[in-house]
Amino acid sequence: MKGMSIRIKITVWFSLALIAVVFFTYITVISVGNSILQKSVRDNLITAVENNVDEIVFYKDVTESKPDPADDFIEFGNGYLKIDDDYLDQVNGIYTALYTDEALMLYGENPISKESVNLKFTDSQIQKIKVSGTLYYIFDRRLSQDGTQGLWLRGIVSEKQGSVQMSTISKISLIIMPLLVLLAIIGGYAIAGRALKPIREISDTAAKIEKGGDLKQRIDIGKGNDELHRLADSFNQMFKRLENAFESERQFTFDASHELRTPVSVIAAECEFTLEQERNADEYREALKVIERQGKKMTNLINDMLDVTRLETRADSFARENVDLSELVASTCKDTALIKQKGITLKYSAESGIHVRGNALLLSRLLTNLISNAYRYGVENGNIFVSLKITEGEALISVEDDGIGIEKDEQDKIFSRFYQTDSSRSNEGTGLGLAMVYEIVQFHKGTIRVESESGKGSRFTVHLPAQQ
Amino acid sequence: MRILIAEDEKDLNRIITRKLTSDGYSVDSCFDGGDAIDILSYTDYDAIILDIMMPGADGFTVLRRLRESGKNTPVLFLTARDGVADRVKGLDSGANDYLVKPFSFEELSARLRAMTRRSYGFSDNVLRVDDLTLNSASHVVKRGEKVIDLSAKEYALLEYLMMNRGVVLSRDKIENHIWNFDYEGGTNVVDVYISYLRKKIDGGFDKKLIRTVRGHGYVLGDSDR
Repeated sequence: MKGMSIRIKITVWFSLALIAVVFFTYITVISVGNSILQKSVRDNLITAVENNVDEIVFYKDVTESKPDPADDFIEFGNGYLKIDDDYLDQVNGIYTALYTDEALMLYGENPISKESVNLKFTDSQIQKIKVSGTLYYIFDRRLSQDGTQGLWLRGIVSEKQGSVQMSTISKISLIIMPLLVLLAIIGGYAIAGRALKPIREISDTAAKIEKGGDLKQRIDIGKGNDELHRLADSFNQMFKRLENAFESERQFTFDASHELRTPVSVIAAECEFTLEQERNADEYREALKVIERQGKKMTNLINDMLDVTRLETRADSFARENVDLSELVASTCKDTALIKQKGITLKYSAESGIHVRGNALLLSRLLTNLISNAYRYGVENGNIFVSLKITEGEALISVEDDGIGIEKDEQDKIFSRFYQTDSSRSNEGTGLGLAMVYEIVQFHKGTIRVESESGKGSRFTVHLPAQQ
Repeated sequence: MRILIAEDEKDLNRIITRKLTSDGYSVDSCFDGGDAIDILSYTDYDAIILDIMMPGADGFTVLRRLRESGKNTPVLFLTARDGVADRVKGLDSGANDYLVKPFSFEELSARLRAMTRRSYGFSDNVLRVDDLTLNSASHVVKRGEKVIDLSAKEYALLEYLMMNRGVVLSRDKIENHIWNFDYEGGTNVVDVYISYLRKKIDGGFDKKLIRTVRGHGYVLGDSDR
């Protein structure tokens, strides 16, 4: 059975079972039927003989008998035996013959009279005799009416009388049963095929995905609610998840290779140019500085990309705990305020005792990204203002600057990965800072809004559900 | 040969400028698409290297504005976008060539040479005027069998004259193509370099290839007029 398809296995199995059932049914029917038939043959024999008993009457005088022209008369003893015309010599293969004690046949028919002549008469008993391979049943009846003493009625019937009917049954069975079995096998094979079709669809689709790597493929087996449809649904869900995972992986690879091209080309070009000929120490130092700068850029880029991807695809790997947001905002602002960049002043105000459920590392990353963004796009001697307060059960963080601002049509794009406004290109940024902020806000089931006017500054407001 | 580089990554811009300058090109550079459009509106270049993603205006816009102004200056896109669709879009928008970062200088130089000689109607790297030959790949210049040693500027000047052989070039035009904006020399710089070149090319040869066309400028080879 190994190596066969399930369809063939099912078909072979039930075909064999069906054939066995049919075979045993046939045997049973034949054997039971046979014995029933034999019994009915014997019963018929007795009935036929008993019926004929009454048809034989003894008369001393013929005239007494109100004879019918069809009746027969036989001279017997000192009178006559009237054989009524209802007497049946032969009916349904049952022969009846009238005998004397001396086994002299007076009337009727016996197909095996010669062979059975030596068979003793036994009243109301069935005897068997085999004549040239055929079994005969013989039933004798002693006549006991007046004047008929010493006479016997002998009924003879061949067991073949039943066999004829039996063979008809078996003939019909032998033709019809195999036909039915064949029909059942064909039907079963077809139904097994249909029932297994969804499985074939599933395996075909899986094979297609395996071969072509096209995760957009879905199993389509129509509508339904049986086990197979549920299986197909589960598979489709799995394919979808896989597709998404692969898609984000692919996107990551694409972004990574794309974003890393520029720093790599700077390094390659710098090396190629510098190595062309002997340079002086200053030139070498300058080249190395460029390489170092680009190397740092690549490091930042890779770290940011990994962080964003991890947030996107495996957010559950970040633990959630009770975070003292007031403490976090205050300490982050205190630290960053120490970094004097472009003469920008950072001020903050944080209401105390505000807690959220989340990840402290991510929340501090969120704040740092927003603040460094404000520094990056701030103007010389500008201001940054960070505030934390609680309103209607929501913690509200806002980071405000009076920097270059963001154009209206760009405001909804700034949270996309690698989107950089024209004015921010060729800056230190990796293009991932705000994308990460967005993901962190999502992780904390919060919202983020940006209000900005080009040339006047921007305000980012983050709403997070607060812990009571 | 004068080239404009518009690339917003400052380090990359700087290194390409240095490399091409050392190759004898006169190079101007800018970091912004808007600046590139401005510069191109009043200066002619022999080739332009354009980044696609730039602040101010992207490479496509710069290229479109250039073509709209009727200039056929060869343009090479230098970009991190490596998809087939990006390349097709770049070339279809009128760029002459497309180079994906990271690149090697060798390839960039070769593509620049190919682009410029095509724009002057040559298909060979070796320029010939009479028995004077200039190989733009190896930078070897020969008069007959004699190898002539030239400085970077002299080479650039000769290459420009040979590309325009038979055409009379004004001092202004020559200066604009060989010297970039950084040069603040006197107006006679062209005459000075022409005289250097004459000594090396024509000195000791009966046939003088560089001729002065009074009131117009200079011409290499037989003039049409």
